[in-house]
Amino acid sequence: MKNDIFSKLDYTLIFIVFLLFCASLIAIHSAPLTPDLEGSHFVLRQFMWYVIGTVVAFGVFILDYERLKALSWIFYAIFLVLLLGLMAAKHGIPVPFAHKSHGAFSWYQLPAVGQIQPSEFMKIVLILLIGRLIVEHQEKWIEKTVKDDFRLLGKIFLVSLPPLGLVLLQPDLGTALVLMAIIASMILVSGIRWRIIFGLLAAGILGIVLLVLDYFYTKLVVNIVLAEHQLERFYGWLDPYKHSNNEGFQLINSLNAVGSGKLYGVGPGNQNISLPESYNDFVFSVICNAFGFVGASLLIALFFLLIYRIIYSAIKTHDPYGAYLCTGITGMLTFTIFQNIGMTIQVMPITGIPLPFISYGGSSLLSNMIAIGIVLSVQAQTRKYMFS
Amino acid sequence: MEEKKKRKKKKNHIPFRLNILFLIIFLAFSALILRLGVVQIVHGEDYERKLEATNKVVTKVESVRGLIRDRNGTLLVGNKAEQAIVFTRKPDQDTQDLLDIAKKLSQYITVSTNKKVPDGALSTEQVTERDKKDFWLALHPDKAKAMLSAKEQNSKKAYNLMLDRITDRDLATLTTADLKVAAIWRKLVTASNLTPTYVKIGLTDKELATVGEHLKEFDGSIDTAVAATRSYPEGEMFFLGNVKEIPRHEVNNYLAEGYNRNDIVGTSNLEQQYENILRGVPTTYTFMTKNGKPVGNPIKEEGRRGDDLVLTIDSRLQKAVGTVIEKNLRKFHSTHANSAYAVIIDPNTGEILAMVGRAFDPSTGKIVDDSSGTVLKAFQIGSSIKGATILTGYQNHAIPGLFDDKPIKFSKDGKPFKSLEAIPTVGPAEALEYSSNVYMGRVVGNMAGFRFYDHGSYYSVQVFNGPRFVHAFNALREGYSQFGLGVSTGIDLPFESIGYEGPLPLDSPGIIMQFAIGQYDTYTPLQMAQYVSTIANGGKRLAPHLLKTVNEPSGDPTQVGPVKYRYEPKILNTIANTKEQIDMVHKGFYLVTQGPHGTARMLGALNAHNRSYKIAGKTGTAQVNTDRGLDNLAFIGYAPYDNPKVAVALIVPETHDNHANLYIAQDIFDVYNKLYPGQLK
Repeated sequence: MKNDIFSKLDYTLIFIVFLLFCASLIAIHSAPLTPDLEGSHFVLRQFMWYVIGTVVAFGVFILDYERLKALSWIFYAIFLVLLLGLMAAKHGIPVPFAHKSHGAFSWYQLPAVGQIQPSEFMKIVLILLIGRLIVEHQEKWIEKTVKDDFRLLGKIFLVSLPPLGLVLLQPDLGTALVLMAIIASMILVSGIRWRIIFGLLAAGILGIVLLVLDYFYTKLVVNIVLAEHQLERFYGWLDPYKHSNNEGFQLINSLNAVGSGKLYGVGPGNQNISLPESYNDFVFSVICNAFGFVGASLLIALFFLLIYRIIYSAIKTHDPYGAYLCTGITGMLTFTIFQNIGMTIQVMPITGIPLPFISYGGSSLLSNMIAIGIVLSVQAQTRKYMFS
Repeated sequence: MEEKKKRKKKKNHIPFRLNILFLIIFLAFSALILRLGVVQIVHGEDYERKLEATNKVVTKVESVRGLIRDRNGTLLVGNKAEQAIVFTRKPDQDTQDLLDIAKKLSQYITVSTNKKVPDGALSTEQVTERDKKDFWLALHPDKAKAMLSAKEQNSKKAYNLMLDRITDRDLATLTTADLKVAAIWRKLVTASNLTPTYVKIGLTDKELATVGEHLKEFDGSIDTAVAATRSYPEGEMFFLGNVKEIPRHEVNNYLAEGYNRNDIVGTSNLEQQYENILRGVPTTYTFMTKNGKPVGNPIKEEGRRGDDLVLTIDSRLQKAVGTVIEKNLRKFHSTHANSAYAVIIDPNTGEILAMVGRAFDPSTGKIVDDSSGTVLKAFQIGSSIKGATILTGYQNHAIPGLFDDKPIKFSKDGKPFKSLEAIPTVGPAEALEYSSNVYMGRVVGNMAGFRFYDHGSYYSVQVFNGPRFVHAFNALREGYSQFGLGVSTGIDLPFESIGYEGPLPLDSPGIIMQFAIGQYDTYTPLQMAQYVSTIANGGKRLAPHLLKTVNEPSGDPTQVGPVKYRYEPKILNTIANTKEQIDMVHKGFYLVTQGPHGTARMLGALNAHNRSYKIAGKTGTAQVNTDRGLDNLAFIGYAPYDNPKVAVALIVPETHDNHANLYIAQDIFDVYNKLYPGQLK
């Protein structure tokens, strides 16, 4: 039986994650630290988180995703309450362990465990729940009408909007964007008619265009939707040399670090760059500096392989729920990677989200490892069919 | 079976759409790699250069300032070496660390409580209101925090809010001992990282010894060194100016020019005007940094001491003129002579030889130096303006033929406009000799289109205030400005007064006649000097200047170094008169001292036997306070009359008519003649 479990594991995926683990330790090791952080054993702690993450991923794999599906509403309720708790804390209501950091209420500071970020886990919970909604919807309405499509869309929005709103208000634009990416990718694959999807896309683009126009002419809506510091983030992104605010400054530092890596990099330990959060959000800049274009491209290729492997699992599986889960995870990882790497090279504005599997950070790594556990579990299910 | 088929069909959309998703992902990742290639391969070199620039810290240490000498090479501003405490800020020192250093230092060095202290010394009087607030906040961080709500503490304006909320009562809790610490602390906080900064200059031997013993306590931040401060071997002269800390409101301008926040800079007059020359090139130290911390020894780029200035001033003359003014003020103090100002200038080049002012201080009864009044104070200069009036009259074709000097009446019973004494028939030269007011009145009357009627014993005049009058009024003022009266003289000082301009007198146009005799607008003694020079040199308005040459520092401090730059005479404009017209005024000015009826015969005809040279000039008496009988007594003149080498402008404001102006003028010419023998022949 034990043998059976291990035979169902996808060792290709595990090997990819192992390579990412190695990359993470090297990157964090070579990240220059500000004097106040020297002596914090980030490499050791990341190693520890990877051990914990592996155990949790294995636990999820054993548990089987079908059981997670059954529990999805309960998880949803738990994390929604935790998010509500943070919202209450933001408005001055005392909530135990609620913790403010970097100007946002996104964390619970637990004794012994450390900081926990509920929104990180909400991403997984939302994938579980939306997948379940789609599957149940399609089992109920086999011959779907346009009306049915709208009904499904309505359900998805109904469960997504509360957590999305709460995360946006923390304020944590980065994680909120990841949630949107998850929702969007799952809607795409859910089988909703193209017309509706294009309609949504058009509405989204129109909304952004209107927002930009509003910014230039009246500023009525912009000021409600985006806080001043979020607007500054956009200025800093568009012209960092003119807007030497915090974001502009970070971007210039990041670009200097990335650019001076050139083709082959300066080599780990030879760096002379100053980057706040170099072990965390800006870890990719460190890699670019140390290992150059070659090293950075290899890492991107590795990420691409990882995502390819997950999509491959989604295509292979016979179980639609498994496929939806893999889709959600794909959306989550892709967007997070794109956003994080993009912000270091001025493709995206700067938001505080970490690079999956590489950046130092427990909550993010745990949720990503849970995602890997789910993918492994989906694949095991596929193999079970194959062998049966 | 059919249901299964449908299910199968439903299932089929998933792989297709996943492939679409995969395509999107592929494109997104490709875009990232493309962009990465642009940043790292295409622009890699640029970013590398930028990164290197951020990994450098350049600090500057100001070089020794240039010296200032007078035209004879006499040192006016020097540097003297003094013991000093130097503070070098480390990157990781915060406000509290600096507070600790300041507290310790205050035990070893003295801080004065006097308002006036030598340059570089410390005084509690240097601590400004803002400094006190900053210091109070540093002293009481907890109380400061308590002044803000939780929300405000995170706002960007938190510090400003705290500054606003500090009460006078809070500041009153600062003891004198606290203020002494604050006087040191304010020097420390303005120091830039790694830049050596003087905390106190001019240590006593005891202070030097005490600080030296305790240097170890400061962990390398504090050291002793030798600093230079300005010295004034010939005494302070206003035009030399001051050096001080950069004024707080101008800090950003200076930072932009590469100064450090707490550098000493020229803040007034010549020190400010020629800051760029005197400053020299600072010595720079370039530190390479690793993760924001300096590593290794800095690369030193040696600066260069500032260049020296040689002035046009003759300090012997400056002092001697001071002495003769003081002598005459004492002599005429009983007749209300309270102050006097004189400018001595070379009319052919605009070189200023001396600018002297003296005044009785009413509170002490002593005579004090008020030489800055020569450029900052403005006076009605009375009839001395008449040379300019005549020439402006010529320009406007308003010079009458010979006519009788008789009072001009604006109305039957009103006060007539007349000359001080009855004068016979006059032309322009005689009008200057006699100082005929009526002649000037007639000139500007013609310009303004007034109608004069001869009534035998007097003239009556019909005035108008139409466009012709307005034009005449402006033309008169414009005429005066050709001589520098009422406009900037172009002197090489950062600030000069240009005098007061009276309004256009539309209600009583007859006032233009007062204007024509120097009793309307006011002018500075420097403007008077430019005016008389313009007439003396035949019509060129030259910018008066104090700088003669800029010289490189010489190895021998007693010698002047090689000339680097020479101030060339600068012609601002040429007056619009013919040579004959100007010669007519020269003749008039000559008659003022030499003619049988001249108003300054004392300077010529009456004293011919003991004067080997001839002066030309014009006196002026402006009735500024008729109730108390106080006049401004002015004199402008030059010598020798036919080949002017020197011009003098002087004024004794608000005095009784005691001829103090003539006595002072006579003494000044004599002093000049003694210092420059043979020049005036």
